[in-house]
Amino acid sequence: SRMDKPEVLTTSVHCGQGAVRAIRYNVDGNYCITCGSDKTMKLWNPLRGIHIKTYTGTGNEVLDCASSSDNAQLVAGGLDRCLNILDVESGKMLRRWRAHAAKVNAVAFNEESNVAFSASMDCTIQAFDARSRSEKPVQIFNEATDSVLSLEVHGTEMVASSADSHFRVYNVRNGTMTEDFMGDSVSCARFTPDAACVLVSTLRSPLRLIDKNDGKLLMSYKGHVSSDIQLESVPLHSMEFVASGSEDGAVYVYGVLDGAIAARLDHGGTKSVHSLACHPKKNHLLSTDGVSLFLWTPRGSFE
Amino acid sequence: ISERMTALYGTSFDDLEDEERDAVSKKPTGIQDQVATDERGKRRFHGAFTGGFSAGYFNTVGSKHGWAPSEFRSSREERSDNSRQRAEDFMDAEDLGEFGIASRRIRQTKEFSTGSTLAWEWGGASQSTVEGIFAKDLQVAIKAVSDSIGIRMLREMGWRQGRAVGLTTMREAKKHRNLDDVDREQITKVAPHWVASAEDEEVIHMDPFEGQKGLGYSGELRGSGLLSEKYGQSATIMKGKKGKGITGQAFGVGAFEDEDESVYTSFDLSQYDFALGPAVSEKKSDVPDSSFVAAKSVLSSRKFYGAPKLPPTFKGIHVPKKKMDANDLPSRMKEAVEGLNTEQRALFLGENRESNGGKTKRKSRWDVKGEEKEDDSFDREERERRREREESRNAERAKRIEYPRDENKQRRFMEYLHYVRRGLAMPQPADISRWEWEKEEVEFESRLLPDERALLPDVRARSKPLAKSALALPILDMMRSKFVGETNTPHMMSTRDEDRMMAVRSEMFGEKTRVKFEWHPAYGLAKLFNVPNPYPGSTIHGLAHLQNKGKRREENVLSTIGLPSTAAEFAMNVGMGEEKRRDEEREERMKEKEKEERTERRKDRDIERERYDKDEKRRREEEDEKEKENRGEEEEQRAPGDLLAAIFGMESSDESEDDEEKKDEGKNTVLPTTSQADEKRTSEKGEGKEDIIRIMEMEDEFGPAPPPGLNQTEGLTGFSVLRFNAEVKKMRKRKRKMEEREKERENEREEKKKKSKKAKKEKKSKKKHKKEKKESKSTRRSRSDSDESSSDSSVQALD
Repeated sequence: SRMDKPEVLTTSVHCGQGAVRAIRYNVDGNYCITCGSDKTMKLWNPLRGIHIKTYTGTGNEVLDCASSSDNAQLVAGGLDRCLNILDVESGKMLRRWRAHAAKVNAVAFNEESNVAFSASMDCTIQAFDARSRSEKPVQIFNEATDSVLSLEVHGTEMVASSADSHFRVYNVRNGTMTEDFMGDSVSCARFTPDAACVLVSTLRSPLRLIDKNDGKLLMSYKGHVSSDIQLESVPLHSMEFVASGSEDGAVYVYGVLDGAIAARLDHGGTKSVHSLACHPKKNHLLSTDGVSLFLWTPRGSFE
Repeated sequence: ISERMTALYGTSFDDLEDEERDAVSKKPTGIQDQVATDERGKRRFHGAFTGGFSAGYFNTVGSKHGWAPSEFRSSREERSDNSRQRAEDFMDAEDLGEFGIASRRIRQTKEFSTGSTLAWEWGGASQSTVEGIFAKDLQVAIKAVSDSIGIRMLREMGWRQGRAVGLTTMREAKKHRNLDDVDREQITKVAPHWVASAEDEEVIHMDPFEGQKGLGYSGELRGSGLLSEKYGQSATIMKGKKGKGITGQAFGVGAFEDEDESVYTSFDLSQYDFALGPAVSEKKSDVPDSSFVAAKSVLSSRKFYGAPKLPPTFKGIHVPKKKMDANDLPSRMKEAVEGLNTEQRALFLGENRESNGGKTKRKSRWDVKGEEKEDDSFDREERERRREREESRNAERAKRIEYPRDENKQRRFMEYLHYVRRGLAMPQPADISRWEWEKEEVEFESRLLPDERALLPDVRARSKPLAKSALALPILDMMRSKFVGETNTPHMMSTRDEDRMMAVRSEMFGEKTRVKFEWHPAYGLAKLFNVPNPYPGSTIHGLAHLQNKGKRREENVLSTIGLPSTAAEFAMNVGMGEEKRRDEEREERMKEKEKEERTERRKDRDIERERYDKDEKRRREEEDEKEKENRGEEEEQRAPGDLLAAIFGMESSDESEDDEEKKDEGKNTVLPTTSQADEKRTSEKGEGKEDIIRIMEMEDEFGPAPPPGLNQTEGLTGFSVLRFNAEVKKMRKRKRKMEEREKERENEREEKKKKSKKAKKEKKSKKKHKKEKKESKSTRRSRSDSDESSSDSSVQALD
């Protein structure tokens, strides 16, 4: 069925971008973007495995990118310590903020795509008004005491994970911030589609599903290997499965409720699978082992 | 022979004037005098190596002082013409000469003097347009033609322009190749003797070269402005064929090198990508990328919901239908409300009073529910008992009278006590001087109770930074905000962190691992997110307890350095009105105590330092025990140690940087590892409740806490010493003035006496006076010198 776990390798394409740092779906899930260490971003049609366009213009390696909700813009950040906004159609650089003192680890747009966020190794997250011409950030989030590693915006909430062993959930509407201690560097924190829980990847620890409201552990998922690499994890669209990258060259798909390994998606190598993205409407899973992009779909989804 | 008899032809030479003198000055002219001059003897060339322009002092327009502006004068009698200035007004006379830029010689204008004088060269003129043809005819008519002699001879012989030279009957067949056979037949019939002349020949048109570039240089394409797309294309075309044409680059590359891709001169717009799609330049396939399919359905954009429609009767003001009357309440509720005491009512109304039970402190306004529950469950009796105990203790403390006679001192002591209990250093009171206060402080310390004394090292640690220079403070501040605190060392790890690690290990997430904060989004952020600001009117951004850092950084650097705002402080002291009286007293005291005090102070300082060192040791030993109490201000307390660590021991941060560098292309991002539990901030916030509450209670008793910046600046002993010195100097000045005044008075008196004496003695006495004065001055100076040196030494001793 369509909402089953992804287990069939539908596409695998060599990206040719040096090392692929991150892979992201666009808003509707029809396209995906890979961020390369050769200072490029590539736009793909993942289902067909077709390369559509290459974006250049960032000053250095691209570590993360995100597409705006109208698919007109891309926000990208990386070792150039800048937050860049590119035009999808023309590939032109529209904005650039040189605000951070260290590399930008993660970037995000809010739902309306009028605020661009960048999370950096300089322990800050900065929010910029994407529509004004101001060079100054709207707000600097300086709560983290170590590198901020991941960032996600969901409605009026943001979740940011940091190497200071915490993940933080900011709520703009309520004016609250919660700080959850995880015991080790939190490499990735993502909201579930309903934004009720947070899926947290912690270094040298199992994957954890944390209740957003009270910070209690709902389930922990063991199986993947995590020793010293920043691995990403994603909850799948149907909320029946979660997936995590692993350092043994595979993606582990767990059942949300039972915590058992539902599938081990072998990428046919020993390179760690560090970046994942989930389709916003289907149980399709994109992953990268740093060289190629892989699309995993449920069995029988194309019959 | 007389001149009249001779006939003279030609022009005579000028008479040589002063032949003799000339003969004398037959010296060769020096090189410095060999200058080019114009007809008027003005120097022609000036400037660099005399090859420069004809300009300078003598050649300037107008006067010797340069160009003088012409006056405009007009009066009733003498109306001036509306004189217009012309370019010539600003020119040298030479400019109007034959070779000047505005030569007045009549000559052909450029249009007529084309330069080509040979008639056959005219063919090159443009004939494409009608005007062109007319122009040519006109030229022929108007222009003087000077053909070469050969052409003129040819023309005499019947040659016309455009014909070949000579008759070529021999090559008839060839020449008549253009004529048809029919034509030829007709020609032979009609004019059998007709000899066809040579065929019209192509006239070689020689275009005169117009332009300033060298021969063979074609220049850029016409109309290739900077804005046109063709701009620079010719250059790239030329680049393509190596060795031909002029590429415009001054230097080529060697035979063994490949030409670099020119980065800086690639101004060609064709090199930029103007179009969508994969690299077009090479393949230039017209077929569009088949994979890029137009979307069948348009993406549904975000839906915005309009505001709800209001009923026409709606008014913006809430009017209760019925006024609430307490009498209308159900009787049970009335009874319940009457039975409530203040605390219960406070609880009922959701007020959070710190004094009730002393245990709960609301972390944020979102915790109301949990708090209330806790209160309910709390044993009321226990609370009462505890409160009684606290009250009795506080009353005891409040009653403490150490200085029954000196009211002010007693008040200061109580204030001091208050500060110590809060773990803060008391700033110098305004009504006493620095040195008095320092003395008094030592005195107060001796009167502290043992439990209060235990707080002293804490106070001292905060008031006295380990680092000598006051400059260390901003550095410390910067470092602290940049690096993670050294919580990794085992003895610094608090129980709170251990607890949290335990919780993580046992997967007991929730209360122990979570901290909730009140977080203020920036005004702009809330607006951009299209939500109302949760804290309207709030000036804070982010977390409230992180505000200090940010603000302090923005403020003036001086204030962070901790320099005493001496002017302000002195002003405060001076402005106290009683200043004069106190000064007088002090002067008296000063005379007696000056020496005494200096030694005393030194002693005190030594003692203090010893004690401080001891305390420091003890403090470190007892660190773990005290941590619970001190956690509230952990960060500040750790400051000096932190600074040193930040400056000298930043291994951990270095490591993380190394980690960053290690990762290469193929590898993935490696996380900087942070070992366990480093969260002082959360611990600070979460626990240490008792401490906070104690402080809060005292606040009720003694008033609000001093501003945080105050104790920092006050605590700098180095500056306090400087200030002390300044004060002492001031006093001494005053004293000196008074002494001088007295002496003057004495002198006057003496003088009066002497006036009454004989005039002879006057001179002598005056001399004596002068001598005395001089002596006294010199002694004073030496004394002041010694004073200064002594004060210097005191500073040095302190440092």
